[in-house]
Amino acid sequence: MPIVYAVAVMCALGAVFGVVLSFADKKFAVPVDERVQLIREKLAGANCGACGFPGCDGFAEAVAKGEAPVNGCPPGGSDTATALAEIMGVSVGVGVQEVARLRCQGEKGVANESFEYDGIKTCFAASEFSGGPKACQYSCIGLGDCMRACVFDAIEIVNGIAVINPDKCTACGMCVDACPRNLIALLPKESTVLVRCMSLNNARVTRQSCSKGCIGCKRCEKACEFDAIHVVNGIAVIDAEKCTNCKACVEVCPNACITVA
Amino acid sequence: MSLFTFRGGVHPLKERGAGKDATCSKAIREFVPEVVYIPLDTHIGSASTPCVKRGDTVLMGQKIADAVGGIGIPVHASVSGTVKEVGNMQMLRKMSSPYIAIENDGNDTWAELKPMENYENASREEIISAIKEAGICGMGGASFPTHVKLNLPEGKTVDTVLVNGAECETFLTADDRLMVEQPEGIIKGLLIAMRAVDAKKGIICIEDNKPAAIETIKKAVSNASNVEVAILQTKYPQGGEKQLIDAVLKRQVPSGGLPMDVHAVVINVGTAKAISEAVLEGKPLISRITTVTGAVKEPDNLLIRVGTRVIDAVNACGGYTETPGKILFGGSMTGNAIPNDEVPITKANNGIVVFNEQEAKTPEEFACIRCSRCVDVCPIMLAPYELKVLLSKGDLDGAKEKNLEDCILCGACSYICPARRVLTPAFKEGKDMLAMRRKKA
Repeated sequence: MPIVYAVAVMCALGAVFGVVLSFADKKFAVPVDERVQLIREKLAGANCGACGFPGCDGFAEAVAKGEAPVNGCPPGGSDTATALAEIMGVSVGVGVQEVARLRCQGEKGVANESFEYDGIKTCFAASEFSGGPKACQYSCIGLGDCMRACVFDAIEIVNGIAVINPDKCTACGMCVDACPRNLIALLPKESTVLVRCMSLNNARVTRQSCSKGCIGCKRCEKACEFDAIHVVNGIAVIDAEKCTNCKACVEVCPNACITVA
Repeated sequence: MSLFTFRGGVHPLKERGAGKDATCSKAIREFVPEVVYIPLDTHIGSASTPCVKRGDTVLMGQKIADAVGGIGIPVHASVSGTVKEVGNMQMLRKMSSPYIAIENDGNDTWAELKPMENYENASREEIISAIKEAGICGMGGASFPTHVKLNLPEGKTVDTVLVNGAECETFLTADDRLMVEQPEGIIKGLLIAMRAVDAKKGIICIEDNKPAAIETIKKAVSNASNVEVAILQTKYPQGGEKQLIDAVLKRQVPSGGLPMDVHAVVINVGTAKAISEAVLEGKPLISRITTVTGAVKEPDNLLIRVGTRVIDAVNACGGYTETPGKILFGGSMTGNAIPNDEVPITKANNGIVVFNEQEAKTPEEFACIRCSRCVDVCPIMLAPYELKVLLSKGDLDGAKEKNLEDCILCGACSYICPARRVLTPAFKEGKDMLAMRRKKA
C-alpha cells in the first residue's frame, strides 16, 4: 500500500512543478534573436578582434542589435559582408578592400648590416638595442613579430624581410600593431604602385645604409601627371585616391624604391 | 664578525677570481685621446642641447651642452681644443645619438673653476645646484642624474647615505682601485651628500674580496665620527641598490618604490668622488676610472676622459689580443654589448670587457627542467622560470601580475640556469614592452 502513496505524491509534485515551470516560461521569456547564431556562422571565426568587438561572438551580437556595420569584419571581406547584409535585410555599400603592405625592401644584400645581432629573436628586442642590427633604423628587422601576430598565415620571413601574401591577407591589422617600426600599413588592394621605404634619414645616410632607399629626389613628383605622389619629410608618399597605377614614377625612381606589387 | 648580505645571489666565475685578477693590483693610469666624441644623451632623461658649434675653441670643463628638462644634466668639454663636429652616431641605445667631437690641443687648459666657498655653511639647494651644474650622473652604470636623486621630494626624509663600493660585477676593479688610491675624495663626497639630504649617518659598503680597499677606507674614516665602513659578503648582485640596503640596513625597498622610501640613498664611490670635486674644486664630471680588460694585451684601469672611443682606450692598453667577438660596456653580468668599437665612453661606463669570438657565442637554449635554481638565486624572490613561460606566450599582463617590473635584470637566473635558458634578456624585453605600453596609453 505505501508504494501507491509514494507514486501519488510524486505525480502530484510533478504536476505542480510542471504548472509552475510552464507559467514561468511564459512570464519570464527572453526574446532570443536567432539572427545572432546565423551571423556567427558566416563570420571568419578567427577571433582576431579586428572589428573592435570582443571576438566573433561579440561582433555577431552587435550586428544583430544594429550596433555594428555588416561590413565590419575585415577578415571576412565582401563575401561575409554580403551574407550578413542578407541576414539583416540591409544593402551593403561596396567598401574598398584593403591589404597589408610592407613599406621596406631592406632584405639581405640590400640594407647593410651594422653588427651581428645575437640577442633574443624578436624585432622588438632587436630594435631596442642600438637601433637594431641593420644600418637603417627604419628598416624591416626580419625577426618575424608580424609573422607571429598573423593568424591567417599570410606572412613569411624571406631573406631577412617580411613578405605578405596578399591572397591570404584579410586586412585584420594585427601585423600593423605588432611591427615595432610601424612599417606595415593597410592600403587599398587595387593600388599596386607602392613606395617601399620609410626612411626619414637624409639622402647621404640613406644611401650609405641601403641600396633601395628613398632619398627624396622628387623625380617621381615631377613624373606624375596626376599629382598623386609627393615628397613629404624627405620621403615619397602616394595618394591612393589620385593614383592611377600608371607606373610613371616607378620608371624614374633612381633607387628602385617604388615598386609594383 | 658576521658579514652583511642578502638572500639569494650567485658567485659568478668564482674559480677565476671573477676576472678581476688581471687588473686589481694595477695603479690607475691616465689616458688622454687626440679626439673625444662626447655623447649628449647617455644619461636617463632628455638629451642635452649643444651650446657650441663647429670651429669653436673650448676649454677643459667648459659647458658644451645645456640640460633639458627636470632630469637633464649639462655636458662639459673633457679636453681643451677645437670643436670638430656636432653630429649623430650609433651608440648603445640608439642608432642616431647626438655627440660633440673635440680635437684635443694637448694643453688641458681648464676653464675658470668656481669652487663653493665654505661649503659647510652652504644650504641643501646650493649643494644640489652645484652637483647639477657639474653634470654628475650615477657612475655605477645606470647614469641616473645625481641631483635628482639627492633632491628629496616634500615629506621624504633620509637618515643614512650608503656609498656603494661593493663592485660585485665580474671583471671590474675600477671602484676597487679608486678606493685604494683616493679614499679622501670619496669620504668628502659622502659628507657633502649627507649634508645635501640632511642624513645623520654615512656608510661605505665594501665586499670582503677587496682587503686593500677596506684597509685604506677604514684608515681614512677614522677621523670622521658619523661615517662607518660595512664589510659585505662577496656575492653577486651585492652592489644592487636594493640588495645593499637590505644587507646593511635590514630594510626592504617596497615594490615599485625608491630607496628614499626606506630613508636611504645609495651613491657609487665614483659618484661620491665626483661630488667632492664638483663642490670643493668646482670641477665638472669630465673623466672617470674605467677598467679595460678581457682580450686586450695589457688589461688596466684607466683614468679616462668622457667621450674617448672604445678603440682608443683598447689601443692604450696594447690593442686586442685576438679578433673581438663582443665588447661589453660594464661587466659580464649586467654589461651591454656595444654595436661597434667606435662608440664613446659615457659618464657611467665603469668597464670595457672584450670577449673573443669563442667567449661571445651564445649557448644553445634547452627546455626548462624545473630545477628552480633560478628561484633560489633571485635576489628579489621572483620566479624567473614562470615569468619566462608567461612571456614566451606573450602574456604580458600575467607577467606583470607576477611582478616582472620588480626584476632588476641582474642576470643571476640566466647565470645559474643549467638549461641555459635566455631569462634576463626576455625579462628586459618584457619590461621594455610594458614601458612602451604605458607610454602609448
